[in-house]
Amino acid sequence: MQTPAGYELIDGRFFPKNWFEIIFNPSFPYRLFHTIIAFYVTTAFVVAAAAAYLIRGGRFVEEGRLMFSMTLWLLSVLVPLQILIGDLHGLNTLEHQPAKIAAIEAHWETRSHAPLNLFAIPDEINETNHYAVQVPALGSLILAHDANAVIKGLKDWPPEVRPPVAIPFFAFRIMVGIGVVMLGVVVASWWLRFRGRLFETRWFLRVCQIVAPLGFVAVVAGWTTTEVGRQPWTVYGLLRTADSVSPSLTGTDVMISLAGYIAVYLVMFPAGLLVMSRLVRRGPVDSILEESPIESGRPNHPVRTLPERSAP
Amino acid sequence: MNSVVLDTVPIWTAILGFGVFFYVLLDGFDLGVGMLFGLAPDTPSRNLVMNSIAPIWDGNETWLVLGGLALLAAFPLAFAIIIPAVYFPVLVMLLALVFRGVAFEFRYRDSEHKTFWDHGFVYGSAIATFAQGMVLGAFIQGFEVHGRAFAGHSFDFFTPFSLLTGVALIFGYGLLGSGWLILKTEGELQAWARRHGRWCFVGVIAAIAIVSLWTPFVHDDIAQRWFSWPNLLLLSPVPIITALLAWVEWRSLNNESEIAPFAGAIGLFVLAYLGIAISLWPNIVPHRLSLWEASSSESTQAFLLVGTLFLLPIILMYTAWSYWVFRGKVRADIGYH
Repeated sequence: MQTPAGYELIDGRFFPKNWFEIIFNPSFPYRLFHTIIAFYVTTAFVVAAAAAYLIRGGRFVEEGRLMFSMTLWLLSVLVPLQILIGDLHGLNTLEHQPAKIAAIEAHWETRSHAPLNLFAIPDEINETNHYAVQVPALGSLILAHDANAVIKGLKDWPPEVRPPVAIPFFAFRIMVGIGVVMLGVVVASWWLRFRGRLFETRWFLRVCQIVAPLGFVAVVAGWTTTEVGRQPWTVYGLLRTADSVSPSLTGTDVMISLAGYIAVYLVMFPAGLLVMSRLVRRGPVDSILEESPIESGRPNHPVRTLPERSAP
Repeated sequence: MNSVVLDTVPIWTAILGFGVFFYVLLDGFDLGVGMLFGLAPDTPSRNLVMNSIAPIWDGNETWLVLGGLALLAAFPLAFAIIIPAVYFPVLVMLLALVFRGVAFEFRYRDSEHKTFWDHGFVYGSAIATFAQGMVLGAFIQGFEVHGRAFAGHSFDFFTPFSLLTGVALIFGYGLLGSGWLILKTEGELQAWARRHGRWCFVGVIAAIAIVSLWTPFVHDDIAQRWFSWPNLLLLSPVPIITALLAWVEWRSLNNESEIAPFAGAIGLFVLAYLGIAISLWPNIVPHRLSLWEASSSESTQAFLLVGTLFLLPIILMYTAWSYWVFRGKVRADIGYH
């Protein structure tokens, strides 16, 4: 629906025309791989943090090292690959959704040698940016791989078909910023591994623990970028978000349901975090042996000793 | 749409019908077990009750996904009308299922808050069941439709009839759940399940009677369907077999049979489902739109059919396999996750 294809419109309704085009629409491969790799990267950073915790704590060091080493090898491949795919995804978006790119970059004017706004406060009413920190021509270079490329600005579109600017602008910077931090961690791991100090460098282990949640933030920020940046369309260029709402649904209804979701997840997320951090803290013990007595109600039976886990 | 070589609508109707029915049956009994869990006398029996469904409950819920997607993809117009009309009960059901689903893992991994998760499991199951019953009631009553959209209010689902069907489904799933527990447990726990099964049975029979008498008054066309001649004669096996089956079920709950209570409960559900289908046929948006009017284009239905016909046997196979692996009585000394 970001880059709809293979459809035909009959009486204002969409009908499928070519299933191959529908599925393999122009942005499909970029979105698919960018998202899948994002999940792997997110998970890998959590695993690396758990491994760093085990190594630092001096328990299960053997297992921790194996986890740490394997995960960082995986990240060594996936993080650069993700940045490459992100770049290709950007080229694709520039081609099919230039208004989204203009919002992401807070470009108001159409011009060549477009600057890169490192930071700015976009002002949608006056159609300008405040406190902009810019690098000349770098915007064109990154977005189109050519400093001379003309990049469309938001003023090319009438206000009613422009996406919000500040949200995609900042969400995108959060995502990319985290990508850069992740790349930094990976590069540092290469250096430390080369020096043979991957498992002994305390500050690096600590850093790996600290960056554990960043993947989640990046995923949400990227999602926000693409979904707010595609506004005001649900089916891009064809069906406006405002026109796709169920007629019976009121704002109050939506507020009630949103509040319901928030209430439930305010319980579920902390509980999930608690349970998962407990699993990490316990370390890679033989969980099946330890858990089944509780789960099957054996505490009410006479205590039975578990087989000693001694060396053979 | 006259040039169709193969009309895919009946096939999709069958997939949707069976998908939803499998969901009702399978998640029905494990939701029922979830509610009975709250009435279990002590921790060891609660553990057994939960372990009797732990390996299979999430497989059962895949049928909900299949049903929802079949409705969305094969009958998009029906989806667009029905889902907004039952927005809140569906929302409440999903949120309740969240609590119920995590309880399996959290109640022993987070054992300090075990009581909290136990309550989440019981109330999650009960609220999800009640919400499903309300969806059913609202569905039978029908929705206000203008053009191609639901034209009513988000709270239209809330009526005395849907409250009744909500309560009815609690007893119905309770009966299925106790049937399952009679099948899977022994001794005292089994006797306990029988006792609760009898209570649920009384509730189910009362509910079937009230709903069967009330439904014809909800809509004239339903009364026409059942009470006009010769339908009165042709459809008479449905209530007659229901009555016979009810008698068999009651007897089996009172003697020593282990399989019959569950089988009988399934039979009662088959007949009730059939009754609703007869009342509403051939409409998918009751009293408004037929299956054919609400279906997606031929090409969509045909395209999706290829994938579905490939996947359905796989789903059926792994479902059967998981039941086979965990067959027999549930035991206290093995993990079931």
